[in-house]
Amino acid sequence: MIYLDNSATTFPKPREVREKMNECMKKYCANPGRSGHGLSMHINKEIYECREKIARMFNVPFAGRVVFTSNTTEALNIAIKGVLKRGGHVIFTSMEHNSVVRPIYKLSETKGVDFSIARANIYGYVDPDTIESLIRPDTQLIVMIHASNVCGTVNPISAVGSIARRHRIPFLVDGAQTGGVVPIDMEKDNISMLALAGHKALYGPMGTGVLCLGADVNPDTLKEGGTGSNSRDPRQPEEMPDKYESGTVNAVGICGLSRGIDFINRVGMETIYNHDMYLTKILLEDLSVIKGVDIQGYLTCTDRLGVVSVTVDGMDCVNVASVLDDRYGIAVRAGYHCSYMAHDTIGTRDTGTVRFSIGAFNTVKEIKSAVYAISEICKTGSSV
Amino acid sequence: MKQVIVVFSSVTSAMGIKNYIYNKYGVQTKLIQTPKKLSFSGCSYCLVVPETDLEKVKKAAKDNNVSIRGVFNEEGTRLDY
Repeated sequence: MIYLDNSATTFPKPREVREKMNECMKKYCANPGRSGHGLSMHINKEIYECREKIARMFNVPFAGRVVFTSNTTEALNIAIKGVLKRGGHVIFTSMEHNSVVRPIYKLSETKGVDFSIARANIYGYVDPDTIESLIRPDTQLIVMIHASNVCGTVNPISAVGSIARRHRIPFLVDGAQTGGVVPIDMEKDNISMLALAGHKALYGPMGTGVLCLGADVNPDTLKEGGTGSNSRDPRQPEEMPDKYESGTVNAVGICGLSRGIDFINRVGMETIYNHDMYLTKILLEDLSVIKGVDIQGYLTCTDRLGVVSVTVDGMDCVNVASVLDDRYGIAVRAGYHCSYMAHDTIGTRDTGTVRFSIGAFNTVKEIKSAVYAISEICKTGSSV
Repeated sequence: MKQVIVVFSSVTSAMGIKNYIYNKYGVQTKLIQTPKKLSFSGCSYCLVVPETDLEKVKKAAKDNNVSIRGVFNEEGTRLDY
């Protein structure tokens, strides 16, 4: 099997991630933050260390402002629903994932929240000036996806962060695709809230998401309940990160995530990025000469990630993916990738795309195999 | 050596201050669940700290925007804080 679906979740996970999770389950998988015994204190320490690693990687002001969630979607929901007030206004881009679009539509229907959509160009790039032109006196939040999960285009979060700061508007970044492979600095990039996927470029397991909160933002809670603290108080504690972590956290997953971050630090984020881009360059160059293949997004490696979406003339993208899987053992994702607005933007509304997404463990040989398979499918058709 | 008990709201806050004062001052502390008689509103965690290092803990809490819920001596008497 050749796995080229790393934007959905990276696979395989580094050995140390698997080993750490196994060790946790064998030796100290007690409930963290609930008890005072040695095992509970041990797992507390492991979890705190993971918070510290994330705080260092993304320059979060305090480790306590690193909130663990079950996935990026939950992190984005906390940020969006916790900040937007009834009748307020929000700006988001036309490249956003449904994890941003749907909560905003829900608030639009239930709380009269108004929104403006900053249109990206056909490559998925959003001009910061477009964002600024949409700011109103009642704008309460700006949301931007750092890199498109459809075509891999990386957006200028630092420039948009400066605009948001100048207008004193909280800035939420969806870093699901970039966190762990592209440097993000919450302070320098003027990011108020950063949502991350633990199981993608951070190489942790599924069931781990992160919301990093800047010092000046304090969203309302999405859920309330047991935090292991202030148990006699019927109100949700304000203490960080307990305020947002009701219910037992995914301690095993967080242990794995901690080792995923160690893996990145050991190999080097820049090394992983360069590896991904080296393979992406080969993929782009080789696919671009196949008749009938149309690459979406930028054709070069500037301002992009190792996410390459294509359409194949006259062929259903789902059929192409099925043949890649069945006949060639290549795992990709086909369809709309939970981002219908992005497909409207880049011109694949009616077709969807076949998406190849590259991770740290892919090889040149695998990329060449994928290109060969696509060229053969173009010659012979995609009938399953 | 006399020790004092510094109570925090959450285990994350207590763990953060523990690490901070160890890294900054080399001060060793012990993290425990707060004895019931010292907790104001239910479960919490605390650091057992040498009395001579209490000011460092207070400063660390202030620098890290962490609130201290109370300081007690070993007999459980609340100290001025």
